[in-house]
Amino acid sequence: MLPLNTIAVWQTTMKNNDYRPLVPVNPEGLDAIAESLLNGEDRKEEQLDTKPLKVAAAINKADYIVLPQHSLLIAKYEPDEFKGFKWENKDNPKEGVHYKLRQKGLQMPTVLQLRTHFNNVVESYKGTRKLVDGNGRQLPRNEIEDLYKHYTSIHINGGAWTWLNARFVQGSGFNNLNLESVRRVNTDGTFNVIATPLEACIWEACYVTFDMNAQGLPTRKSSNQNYSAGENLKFYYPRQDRVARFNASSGRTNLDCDGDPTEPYSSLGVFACAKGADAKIGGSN
Amino acid sequence: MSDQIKDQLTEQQKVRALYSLIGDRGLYVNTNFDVFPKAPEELSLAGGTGYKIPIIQENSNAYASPLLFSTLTSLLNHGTMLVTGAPGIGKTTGAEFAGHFFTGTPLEEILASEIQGHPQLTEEKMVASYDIGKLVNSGEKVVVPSRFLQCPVKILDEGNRTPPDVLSIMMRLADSGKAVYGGKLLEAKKGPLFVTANYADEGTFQFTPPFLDRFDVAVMVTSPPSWDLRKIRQRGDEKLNGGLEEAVKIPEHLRLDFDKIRKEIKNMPQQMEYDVPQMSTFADFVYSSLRFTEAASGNIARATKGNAWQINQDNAQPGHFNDATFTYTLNELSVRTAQAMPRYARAFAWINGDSTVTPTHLKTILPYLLWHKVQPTQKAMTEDPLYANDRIAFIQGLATKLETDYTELTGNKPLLNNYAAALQVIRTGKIGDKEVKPAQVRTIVKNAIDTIGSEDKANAINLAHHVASEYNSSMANYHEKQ
Repeated sequence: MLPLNTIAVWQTTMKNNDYRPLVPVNPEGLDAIAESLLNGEDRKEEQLDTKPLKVAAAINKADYIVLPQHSLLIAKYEPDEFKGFKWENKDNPKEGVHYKLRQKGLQMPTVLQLRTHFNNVVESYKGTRKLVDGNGRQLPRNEIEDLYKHYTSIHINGGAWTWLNARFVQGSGFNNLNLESVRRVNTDGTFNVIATPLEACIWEACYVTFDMNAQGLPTRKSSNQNYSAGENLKFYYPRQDRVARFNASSGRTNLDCDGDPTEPYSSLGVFACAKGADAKIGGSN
Repeated sequence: MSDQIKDQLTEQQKVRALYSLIGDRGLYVNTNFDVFPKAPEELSLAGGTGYKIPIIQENSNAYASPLLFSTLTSLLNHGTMLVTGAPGIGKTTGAEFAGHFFTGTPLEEILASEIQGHPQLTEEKMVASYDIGKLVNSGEKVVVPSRFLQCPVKILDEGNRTPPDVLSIMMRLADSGKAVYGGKLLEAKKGPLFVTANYADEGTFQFTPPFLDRFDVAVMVTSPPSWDLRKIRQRGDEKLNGGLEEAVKIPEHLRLDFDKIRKEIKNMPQQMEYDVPQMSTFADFVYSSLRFTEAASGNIARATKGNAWQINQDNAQPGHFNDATFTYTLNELSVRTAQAMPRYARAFAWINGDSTVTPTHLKTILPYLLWHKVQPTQKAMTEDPLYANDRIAFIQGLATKLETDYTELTGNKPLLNNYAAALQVIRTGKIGDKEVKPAQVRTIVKNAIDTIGSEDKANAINLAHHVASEYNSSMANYHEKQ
């Protein structure tokens, strides 16, 4: 331990200097941040992050981001190998995107999973969350900005466009619909599905906030009925026998629950997901 | 205007009145307004030409850059200005009138001391000569300063017809207001230096980058539009009607108090945010953003464009930050330029009648402070080939990129919080009321640098470097005192 007079000399030396930041910074809360820097919280997190994740799928974990709320890894961008396939191909089930994902040990995100990840990306862009990749590396600011722009504009490959694991079928739920998800893909490419009653959600085509029900569907209309990146998104409410898609265009981000499962597009892919991420690892607030 | 009101005019009002008077009397007429303190509304022309017409915002001002900057340069001590453009469109005249009205120097004195650039221009003409009478009669070498040196308003007309070695004398004069002749140090009278330059022809020399860097500001004078010709003719034709004695008279009530003006400009307060002056902070950001280059060195301290003397942004292998703003310029800004930016921003805010200086003042005039100094890279020229002619547009494009970078940086709260927290601990030696030991400060600094460095942005490197530099400096001081 240093003698007290050593500390006094240090403090006298420091106070005589003018170490102002080069740009304006709000001084509130800096003590707490200094405390965390002293305790090496960031470093501890990095050490924790470097713990290898056990993921069954053969993937490059650097291309995936931890989705801690769902113990998943989700692809940073839609892999090309899953683009151009139908959500469901009844004539040739092995040529559907679900089967293609299964072959690689991957799966399609549900509406809730994708929207949770989208919210994580928006929060990280705003600086209130950290994202880590499958190797436990914290994503730098420029990567976060790219991701955010991909989800909210036509940045990189024309913007995000993904199938979601949700089909709306006749049932007992809200507006007589159920939400059907693929639970397992069989070796012949056919599906085992699970259907749950659709929960109440917004029922008009409009801009919505990021609030959502347990199925990931929006519950609040945006007070701003113009697009505001990172603040709202355009919602197209569910129609029977249609599937959910999420896409970013030049003018807005869309959650579209009126997609045709049999209509493929060359740039329509999927944010492939791999099971296995440890919820304790990534994406802490 | 009543005598009482005339007596109550502030210096700023007098300057603005003189500014209008120069136009009203037809002495300098050019309505090519290109400086707008508030960004103008831009109306696109039909037909796909790509041209836009600026429309002034309500309750705002618009200026023609040649007269505006001639005025500001005249009001500052040893201001230096380069005036370029085609022959016969009022480059020299504008400088003469601005120099006359805004320094109070008689026009005849300015004209008599003006130097015309040519290949045989001598040091004697520019700086001083020996008193021939005394030299012949008694052999005594008495140095007599030239009229040019003694005149408060110095104009070198067609400067680029003067060889570079002769211009080196002018370089020192522009820089320090001093010159040496016969071993005697001579001090030039305080006042502006204007150098005009026609576009290159077979009789001109290329100004060297160090010479260009001496000019605080530069303007491209464009010919007056046709609708201005009527007003110019109204002034009368001095070749037909004689001199301009009446037109150049300075009304008594508009006589300026230059010391007061310079004091007011110097004391213009800056808009502050969290105790940080915003305008000079943005100026420093511009300086810092254009300074860095990966082409120069792998050592962070030497990775500056000034050190990229063999491999530069144009011939280097692609680096890590290929899209960063620094990749658009070959050279960095000098300390001289870094000092001129806030000086002219203050003067501009003052003449515009604003109570504080803001980053917007600097952004508005930045193209005129930098276009003659900053060389675009091939990448920039590929983005817009017209930058070869229109360097002002190049700097405007660059300024937009810099402003975007600045907004992104100031919006990156996690990064800035770590950065500011580390600096605060270095400064105070405390976290809150709790004393921190030197070893703990070191831990904080290391963790902060680690976190800031992970941002993978060129300007984050600068902040991390700043933390390290302040820590090293404080530790060195601390060691000295131990």
